[in-house]
Amino acid sequence: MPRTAAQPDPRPALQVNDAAGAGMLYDGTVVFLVGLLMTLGVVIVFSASVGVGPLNLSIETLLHSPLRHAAFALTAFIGMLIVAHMDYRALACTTPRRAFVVLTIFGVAVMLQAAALIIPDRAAGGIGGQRSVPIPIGGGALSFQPAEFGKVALVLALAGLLTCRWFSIRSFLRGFLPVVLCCGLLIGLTGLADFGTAALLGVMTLILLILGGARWLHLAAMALAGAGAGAILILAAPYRIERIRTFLSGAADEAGSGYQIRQSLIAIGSGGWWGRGLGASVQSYGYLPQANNDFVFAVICEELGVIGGIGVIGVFLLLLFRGLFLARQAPDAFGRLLATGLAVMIGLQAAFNVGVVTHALPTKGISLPFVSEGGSGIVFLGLGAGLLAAVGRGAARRSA
Amino acid sequence: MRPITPLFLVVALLLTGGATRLAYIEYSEGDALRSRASAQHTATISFPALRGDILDARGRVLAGSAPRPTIFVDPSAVDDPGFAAHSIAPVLGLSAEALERDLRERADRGYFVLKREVSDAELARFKHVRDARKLRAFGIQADSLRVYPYGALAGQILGFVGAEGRGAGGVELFYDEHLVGTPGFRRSIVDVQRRRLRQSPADYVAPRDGATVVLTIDAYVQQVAEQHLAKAVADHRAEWGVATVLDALSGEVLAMANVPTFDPSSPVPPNATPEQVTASLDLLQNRAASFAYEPGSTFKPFVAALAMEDGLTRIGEVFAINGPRRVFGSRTINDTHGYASLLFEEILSRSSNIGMGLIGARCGNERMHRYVRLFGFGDATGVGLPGEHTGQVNDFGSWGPFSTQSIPIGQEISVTCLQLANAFNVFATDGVLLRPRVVRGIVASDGNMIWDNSRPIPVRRVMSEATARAVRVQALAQTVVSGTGKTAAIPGYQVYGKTGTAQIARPGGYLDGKYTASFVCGAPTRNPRLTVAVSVYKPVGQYYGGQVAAPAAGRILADVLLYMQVPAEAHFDAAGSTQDRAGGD
Repeated sequence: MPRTAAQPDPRPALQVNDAAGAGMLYDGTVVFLVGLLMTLGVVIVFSASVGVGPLNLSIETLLHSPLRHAAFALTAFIGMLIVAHMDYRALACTTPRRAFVVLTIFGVAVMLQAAALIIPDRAAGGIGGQRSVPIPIGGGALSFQPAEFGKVALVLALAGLLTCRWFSIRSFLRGFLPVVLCCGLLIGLTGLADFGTAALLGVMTLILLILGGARWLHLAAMALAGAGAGAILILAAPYRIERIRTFLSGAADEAGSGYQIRQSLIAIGSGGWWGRGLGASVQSYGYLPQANNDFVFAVICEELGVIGGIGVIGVFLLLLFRGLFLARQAPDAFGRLLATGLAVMIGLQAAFNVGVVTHALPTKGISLPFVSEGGSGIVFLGLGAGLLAAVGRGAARRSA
Repeated sequence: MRPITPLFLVVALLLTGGATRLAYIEYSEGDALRSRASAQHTATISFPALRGDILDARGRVLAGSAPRPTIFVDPSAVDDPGFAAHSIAPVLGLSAEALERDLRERADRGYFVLKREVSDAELARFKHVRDARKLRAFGIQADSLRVYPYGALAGQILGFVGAEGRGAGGVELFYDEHLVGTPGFRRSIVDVQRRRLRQSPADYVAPRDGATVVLTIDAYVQQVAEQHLAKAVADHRAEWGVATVLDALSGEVLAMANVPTFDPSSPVPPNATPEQVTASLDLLQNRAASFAYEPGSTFKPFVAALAMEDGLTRIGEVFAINGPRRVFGSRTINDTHGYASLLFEEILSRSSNIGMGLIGARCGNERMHRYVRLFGFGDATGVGLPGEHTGQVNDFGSWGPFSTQSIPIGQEISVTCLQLANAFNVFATDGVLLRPRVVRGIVASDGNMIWDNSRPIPVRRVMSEATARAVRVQALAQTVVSGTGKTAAIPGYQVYGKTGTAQIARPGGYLDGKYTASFVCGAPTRNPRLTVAVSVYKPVGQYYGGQVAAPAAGRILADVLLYMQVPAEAHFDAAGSTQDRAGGD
């Protein structure tokens, strides 16, 4: 069955073949909004990282200082601009070579994720287990989190594959099953160390499969299998049960695992409506664990108030709807699916993060996109945002 | 491809839900969360206030405060008790093994005092070791030590300071609220390791040190009084003695001596048995103001004066005594010597009980009761010390025929040494009773006067100027010249006074052979400047007031008049009057 039969694309892809004349018409709104979030992140991380002790200028300290985050944010911003200038259709699976490139990127993501599970990393002894691959410079200060790469790679690969001319997702054995198995492999490997990101990847896979036209029957089967896999992941790592139990118990265990969420709520509450003022956070001085990364939103609320926190959510909403606009204006199905995937992923990740910080969801390792500290995360999300902006270039040309 | 807009709306809904949740948190539990935040972010350090000084009349420090820090430890915050103990113990002169054991046993506690009253040198070494070895669990508490530079001098007046820094006994207790001061504090925002992040000026309140209490006591006069009293008590192997020295014109208490003395800096000996504790607290009692005893013959001048004031007798009247024994109704009164007749003034100077019995009969109970109260007996003087005894003056209704002869010779009544001195001072002031004062004023630590008590406080006129002067100059001065108190005579000044030897009362009678020997006196007679009362309790051997108390009172007068630079009386010739040690009552 042709793939356009069920859901005919209202706007068939335009045949735009001009390699020349590619101007700088990427979507500035996306770049602006992402840049805004990155700037806010750098400022907050700076304010939250000012220590009490004496100034220490060793390499080790500098690599852990907010300067490191600023450098990564800058890198991510430049990377975003570079990608935004490129033609995203270079990644569309229009030729076997291009398809090979996309599948290679996905393969690399899977291998990196596997590598992270094998290579021991003494520096990152976080509760998530092996979430990162150490990079042997700077005494372990630099590390690479393959899951961050995997997120973008998954969206890119699925968008490409699902809009590929000689691939039909409606076929179970030759379409749906291989895709689901490949994605399942990546999700499974990710989930062994990082349940939150794996859940996000799972949701993204489901969304993209639905949008890409997968059969509901297949999806239902996959959902069953996914639920089973999720149950296994939960049982394999007891701390996840602990997290869920903590969540369900209403953070009653103050000293134990409920401590972090309690401190997060105190940060939010102590900011009030208008906040203590930029740089005035006290919770970031050791009270709130992970104040710079997963719980940076709580610090934002403490410093800028509930109003500031809602403002940040507002920026994500603008980014989301800009993504919707770009997807609808995209000149081809690949651009459309890619823009949708990237925008929804950013929005979902932000919503998950806010949910965790406000104790609406159980604690899991989900950072706030573009804002949280964390080297590889911000860089790869930046590249993803660059792709989103690049879709805007096509959209602009199309509407021109 | 399926439509994408619903998906975006779902995600937008999720984000909006997050925003709503934020607003809900702030709305529903914002205040509770803020109070939790300030509770965990705020650290309050208190700064103790120094206790105020107690000064004597000339600004000498009788009681002061010296900073003596306490070193403490938070055992629960000690990582390595062995290392910590072996680092800190040698610096403070403690046993490292014992400290390590203490630290381990108290590992769940947050506060444990290592050493109090740490010296400056120890403190410096402690700081050095603590900072060098990063022993954060150890801290310094700015405590202070109460010091009494004059040792046991005026110990019972001063009282002492208990372990909680509150006054216990004496001035330390009576004026504790002024002395204690207000501690200050600093509230600051701290990080999770309790290190200070920031602080607003409003969150620092400086400690306000306690006020300075200025006494009327003069350390020199006090020392003189204590020395001469101690000699009298020791010479006569007495149980104890008290002495009061008043500035005659102002009513200021210049000295209030108690023997044995009490050392405020070690109120209770370390590791004291319960008996020792009781004995120590017994020493603390300021008997000069808080112990009442029968005054005996020292009471005679008051009754004699009231008879004269009401015109019932006069200087120069001759009384037929027919001693040494006389029966009044059912009661027999004895004199030491047998006199046929005595002048009014001789009844006082020779201390005739029969003569006083006759005067008592003339006065009658009602008049005597009224005057006794006018002299202030039966009321606390209001000197401003804790535990002051009112003395005992029975209700008029319980006075009987016996009282008519008992009261004139100082029986059926009890007084304190302070009351006795103060009532006798009426003769010095030409008839006016003053309220005795032990505190001259209280000055706040910022220099402001809290209480000015430096002016004399007249209570009432008790008798006319003429009566007071006549009794003083013509009767009481004779006691020292030719009567029972010749041992109190001193060169250069004429002393007037009255001896007293009272058997010590017990319920329903008197103790056999146990006496209170007293002498109350003043000088110079023409222009009195000092009033002194001395009582020695249970002397062994000699027991007459003229033998036991009068010499001490005389020496106190001589030394203090010299100290006060009171001009010697040109007309008064002391030659020949000081050697005769004849005593009697």
